[in-house]
Amino acid sequence: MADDDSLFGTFIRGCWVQNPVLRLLLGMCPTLAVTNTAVNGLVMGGATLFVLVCSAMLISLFRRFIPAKVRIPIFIVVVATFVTIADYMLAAFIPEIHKILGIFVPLIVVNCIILGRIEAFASKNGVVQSLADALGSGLGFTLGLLVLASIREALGFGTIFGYAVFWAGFKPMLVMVLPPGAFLTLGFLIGFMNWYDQRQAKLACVECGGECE
Amino acid sequence: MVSETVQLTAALVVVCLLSGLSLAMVYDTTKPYIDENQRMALEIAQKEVFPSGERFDELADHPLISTEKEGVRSVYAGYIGDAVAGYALKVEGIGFGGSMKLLVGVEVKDGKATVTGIKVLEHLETPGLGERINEDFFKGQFAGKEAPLRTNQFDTITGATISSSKVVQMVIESVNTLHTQGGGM
Repeated sequence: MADDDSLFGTFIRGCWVQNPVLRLLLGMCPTLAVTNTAVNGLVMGGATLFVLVCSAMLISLFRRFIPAKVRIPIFIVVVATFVTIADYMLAAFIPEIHKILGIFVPLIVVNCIILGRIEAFASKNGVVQSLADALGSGLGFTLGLLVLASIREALGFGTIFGYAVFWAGFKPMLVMVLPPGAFLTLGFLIGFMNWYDQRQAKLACVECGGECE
Repeated sequence: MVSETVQLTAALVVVCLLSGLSLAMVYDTTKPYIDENQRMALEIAQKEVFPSGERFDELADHPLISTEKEGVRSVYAGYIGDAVAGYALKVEGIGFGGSMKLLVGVEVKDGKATVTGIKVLEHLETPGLGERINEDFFKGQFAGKEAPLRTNQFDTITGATISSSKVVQMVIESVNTLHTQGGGM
């Protein structure tokens, strides 16, 4: 699967096979910090997706002109520029959402998924391939954050996107929206992903007669 | 042959210049919108904390205004007709995550200062926890309380003790100071 170099294969690798949140465990700072409500998770994922796609395409476009020795400072300057642009745009056109995100928008600069995908992929591949990779990783990150945030909001506040999801009288577990809840939920999610992988592998074995057992 | 140092420096200089240039452009384009958003937000906030005020004027040299780390930042007089009927006070304080700004509405009538409402303008409190200082059950408890205010008149929020006690303290201090200054008249 990881050897599939088609555009779709590249996209799926970022989104699922190497999901930044659930498989690679990259970008843990925003993952753990902002995922206590579904809206926060979704908007944070969206802003990261924007920055990742723009920076990856720009750097892929100019990859031949970037001297190897100063590539990291150049990547950081490019990423920081897009983050600041996103920050201004949010403040100008959707001030309500900008207010919700607050300090976490500037922190996208140090999200290691962005620098990671640029260093590992965009600086070595063409623009279209880089776009597929950035979209895959960005959407994978958004998806991971959204799942984590929905579970935490549901158990910690009894709501998802502000809508009640449990019976009346449900007593929310405050710990789920506090920092320990982030670690607990992430641990169970990763455990589930590993269990799913092993089960898939076993099924594949039954299909081939269990010879690989 | 240009030396490597010059090449690397040139590459960085060019990238930073382009970055600065594009940021300056985005800043210039978005600034009017951001300013307008802030002005409108202030107007709506003034109306929200002091609903009976028909128009508001900033009082630049009001004695309540503090230059300390925490305290009253701006005083807006709220008019009914031509008479000052109350104030909207912009108060700054340090919460759990950083600086918080509140707008506190106060009605002044017969020498008595009564809180009419509060609004959180800016905060850096933890999303989902300290952020709950924004919720109505908490903000609503201030309206109708008459100066002098005391801490035990107000509830704080579980999971947001520092943020919510700070809001209570900021409201109490600003309103009580206004009260001891003779209603600010």
